[in-house]
Amino acid sequence: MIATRRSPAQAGAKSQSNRIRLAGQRGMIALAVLPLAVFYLVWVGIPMIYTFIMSFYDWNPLSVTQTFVGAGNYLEALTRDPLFKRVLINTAYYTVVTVPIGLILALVVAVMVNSLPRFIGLFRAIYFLPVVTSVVATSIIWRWLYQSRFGLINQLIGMVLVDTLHLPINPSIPWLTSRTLAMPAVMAMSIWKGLGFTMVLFLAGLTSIPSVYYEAAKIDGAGVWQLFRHITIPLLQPTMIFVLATGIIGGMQVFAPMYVMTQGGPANMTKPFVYHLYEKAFTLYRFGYASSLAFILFAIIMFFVFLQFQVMKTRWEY
Amino acid sequence: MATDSPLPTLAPEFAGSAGPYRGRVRWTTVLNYVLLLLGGVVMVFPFIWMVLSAFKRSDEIIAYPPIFFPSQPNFDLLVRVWTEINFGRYFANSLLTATVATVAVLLTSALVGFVLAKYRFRGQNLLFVMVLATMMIPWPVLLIPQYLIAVELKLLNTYWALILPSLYSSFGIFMMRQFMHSIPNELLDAARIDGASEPHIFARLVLPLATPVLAALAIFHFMWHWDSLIWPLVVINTRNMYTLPLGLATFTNQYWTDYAAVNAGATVSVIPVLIVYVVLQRQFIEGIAMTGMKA
Amino acid sequence: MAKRSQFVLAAVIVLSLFLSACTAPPPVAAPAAQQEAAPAQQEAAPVPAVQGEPVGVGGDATGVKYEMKPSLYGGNPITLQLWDWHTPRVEYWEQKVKDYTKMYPNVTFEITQIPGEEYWTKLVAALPAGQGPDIYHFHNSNHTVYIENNMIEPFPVELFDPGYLKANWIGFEEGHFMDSEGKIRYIPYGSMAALVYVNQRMWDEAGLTEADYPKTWDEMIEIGKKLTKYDAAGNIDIAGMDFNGYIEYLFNDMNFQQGRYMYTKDGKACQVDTPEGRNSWNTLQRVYDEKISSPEFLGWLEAFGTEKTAMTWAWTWFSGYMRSTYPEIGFFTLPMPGFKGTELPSSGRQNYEVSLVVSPAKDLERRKVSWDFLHWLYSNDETLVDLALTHDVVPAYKKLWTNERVQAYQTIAQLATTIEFKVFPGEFPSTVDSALRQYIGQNFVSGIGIDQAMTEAQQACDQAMQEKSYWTVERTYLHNDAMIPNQP
Repeated sequence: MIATRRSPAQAGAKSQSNRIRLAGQRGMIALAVLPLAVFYLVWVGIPMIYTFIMSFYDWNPLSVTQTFVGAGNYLEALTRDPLFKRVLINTAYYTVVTVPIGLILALVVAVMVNSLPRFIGLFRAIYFLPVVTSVVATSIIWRWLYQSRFGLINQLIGMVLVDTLHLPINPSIPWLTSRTLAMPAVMAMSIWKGLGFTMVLFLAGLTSIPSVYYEAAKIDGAGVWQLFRHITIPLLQPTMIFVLATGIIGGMQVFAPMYVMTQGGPANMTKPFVYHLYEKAFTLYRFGYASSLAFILFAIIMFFVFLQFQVMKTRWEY
Repeated sequence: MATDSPLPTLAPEFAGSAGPYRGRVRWTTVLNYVLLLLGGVVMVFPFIWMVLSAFKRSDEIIAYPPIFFPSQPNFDLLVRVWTEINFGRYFANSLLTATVATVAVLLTSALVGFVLAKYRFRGQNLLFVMVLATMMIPWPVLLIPQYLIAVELKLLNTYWALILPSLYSSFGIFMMRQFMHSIPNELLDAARIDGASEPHIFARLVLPLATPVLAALAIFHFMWHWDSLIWPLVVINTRNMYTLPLGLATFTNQYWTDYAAVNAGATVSVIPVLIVYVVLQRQFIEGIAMTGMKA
Repeated sequence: MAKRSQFVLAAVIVLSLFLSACTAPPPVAAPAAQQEAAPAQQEAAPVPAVQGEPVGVGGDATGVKYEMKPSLYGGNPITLQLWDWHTPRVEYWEQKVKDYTKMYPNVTFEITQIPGEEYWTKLVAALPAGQGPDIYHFHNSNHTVYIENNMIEPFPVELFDPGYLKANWIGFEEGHFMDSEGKIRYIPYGSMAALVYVNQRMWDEAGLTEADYPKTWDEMIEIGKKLTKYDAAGNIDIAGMDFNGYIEYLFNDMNFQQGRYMYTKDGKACQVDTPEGRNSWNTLQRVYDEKISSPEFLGWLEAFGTEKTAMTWAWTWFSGYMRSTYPEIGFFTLPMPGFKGTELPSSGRQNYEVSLVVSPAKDLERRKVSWDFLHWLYSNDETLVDLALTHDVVPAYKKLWTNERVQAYQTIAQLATTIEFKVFPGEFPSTVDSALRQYIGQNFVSGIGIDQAMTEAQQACDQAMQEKSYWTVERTYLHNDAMIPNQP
């Protein structure tokens, strides 16, 4: 397609085409950036600045007057909020576990599915299904899986470990009511639900790796692992950066899985940061305080995303 | 075309076993199938349960232990979902707004992603940082200011209220920017030497190359828009403007949720998302062909 | 270069700040609610005021008889916005507005249903922006914030006679629906509390009769033993009495039964870790110890309808849930057992289902129509019975307790006889709810000891009460003198 366009005459008039090119680029930049700037300014910029200002007020939208409290909200969050540390730890725990595991599993599944000689489409669809499975079905099934007395997981444990192997274990494991097990149980469901999403990203990334790279490397006698390590992984780098960054951003703002499965219990061990913030805003009408929490989280996420950018850029130069 | 891809041979080898090349492929392919099938059961089971539950009696859906197959196919739930809420109308509203928003996001994300990745201009990095930053602020605190803006722009209770906020997606811009990085500059320069204009390069070279990623973005954005509840709920007042999630949410009353009806409605509402997925996933394969060709 | 671009961006931010000051309400300003809402009413050519047929007029349940007006809103067309979240109620309003608009053909309604929690999200966005409804349904868990910020117009005394309401309705005498100045801000449909639910078939199969109805927790546990069924390994297959997932409310009721209030007098702390609280915990513990139920067993809501428990304990909305979800399961209700077998000092907590309210943000002429509609609705006995039955509550208008339809409904007829022994604590913040659920209910099920649980629950509940000021009125309880004297 491109080869047919090549003509020596056009290649000759270089300086002129350069000028045209730059003008064309400016046009493209204007077309891309100006509407974008207007949109983001109106739709996100103003609300963010508004919220930031209101984080210094005792803001209740229903109230006629709002009291200025200075840094009071931030101070309360950092020093007096009894749950602040707990919800931050929960959120970090969730992110640190689900993001890497989700990424590795999705990469493995994507590579495996892509390597199949037949039924690729079928497997791609199957692994995407949890993403579209309804919240109701997801929560009913997973709560049943985790149920202590009649749940499938405990029944299997009872059958295999206790009845067959005669291990001295009580098979009534309280998956969702134990302070230590509830969070991992929610994480497992969350990884299951999100796997197909990340897989699709990797599939899209894998397809953009030109096959010539592999062929050239094979001619040079590269082994399989070397192909994966030195071609697939580095060329998936932009995708990895994306998956990791959005994973961190999404993980730190996790809300729905806990809301559906545990409502933050037991003992607030599964209450994430945004859940806490949501309650402050919409059940206590403390929007000012919720805003200060939002900007604290904003700063934390910003820090880690840029840290990640720095680390990954220096390692692979992307 | 798909067989041109190196990956069918790459990944089985990655699965790691010794021996002659051809034998390895066969053995590891079988292993691949077995592993993927085992995992697939876990992935597919709740979905099948959801679909079958749309044909159950309402007490069967919350039975203990769960009943997998309905005692007899029962269409009551589907009929109820269709008649008790204006399902057809809500479905049409959802389809219209999700389609328009998805097409818009594909265009805007590709364009902005391309410009951010392949051009150099002042404020470029800052712009990217700001796009990223908007993803980092939790939605509960932006809801009210955004609502006030929607009031000012007189968007309340219009389709625009559902579409306008979805014209741009930070996620989409970020995703496209990352992908555009992997397009070799030499390829663009070659096209420029051939005299192709910048819009032409974008439309005829970059967009086709981006097809697999655009397909993925289309699926995600369509799905998000399709499932979104809070924003439509806040800006829409009259029932004939409701989207499907809003309609289904009315099966939750003050004290309990009619899980059976919600699930039946959700099952029907998942069909368009699946169609979009199945149609678009072909693009992954075509994407390989494109990329391979330019060599 | 970089510097210049940053300057431009800074300028843009400043500009946007300026814009935000112009377009969005400034941070500290009177809300748009005070201004008139957008010119939504595009009056078309005025329709001649057609006199409609009187429907459902003449009721006097509010103490003021409803008479049909010659015309409303000058006969001009008007559309009232009505917001509600509860599905059965929305369906009911749809019927009722048809009747009402038969009388006043120039009046139409636009009813918006917004589900559950999101309803309050939408209100908090819309009301201050002047985009709210004319009429919306209220719930008393938002008492303080809505009344303090004047989001509810007081009920006009010329339509709702306070003297009559005090004499003939429950809760008015105690001031349960008034602001601090004594103005009525909403009215109750009725009151709800908890009962014991029994599976009829299992009860009969165990050979139990009316003589076995348990009056005390001890008797309850004995009955429970007879109803429990075990599998071969000795695990519970069908529980005798399962309350997993609802333990915190039962705990609450048990404390009231021993004369202990929930909050301290100033409403700044809770009374959880008390001798009575510990006794409640230990009584509950006996249900597990006697193997009538167990920590790993199903939640009560799943267990009763699926016949995995013979008895449970629930608020009366559960009757409606059983009716709609498990129509073929036969059950009956029993009053709450107590510690001594008497209703005094109390038999537990109650809460009200309350009414539609009128938004003060709309102009006076519109509000007049809204009030006429509310007066027409709530002055009618049959409407009030419908509403009580829809919510599975004991009607607040005491005269209706002898109504045939109320009498025919076993759950409500039964609850009506004990409603005077129920304590209304006032606001019951969801943070308190959550503290009790996590540190009483979930601690109980996960086997955390009484000392740790009591300490944690007390602390979490206190923190919730101290975060904001709440409206607590439990000391207005009718039999306050029977409760433990000199509580903090």
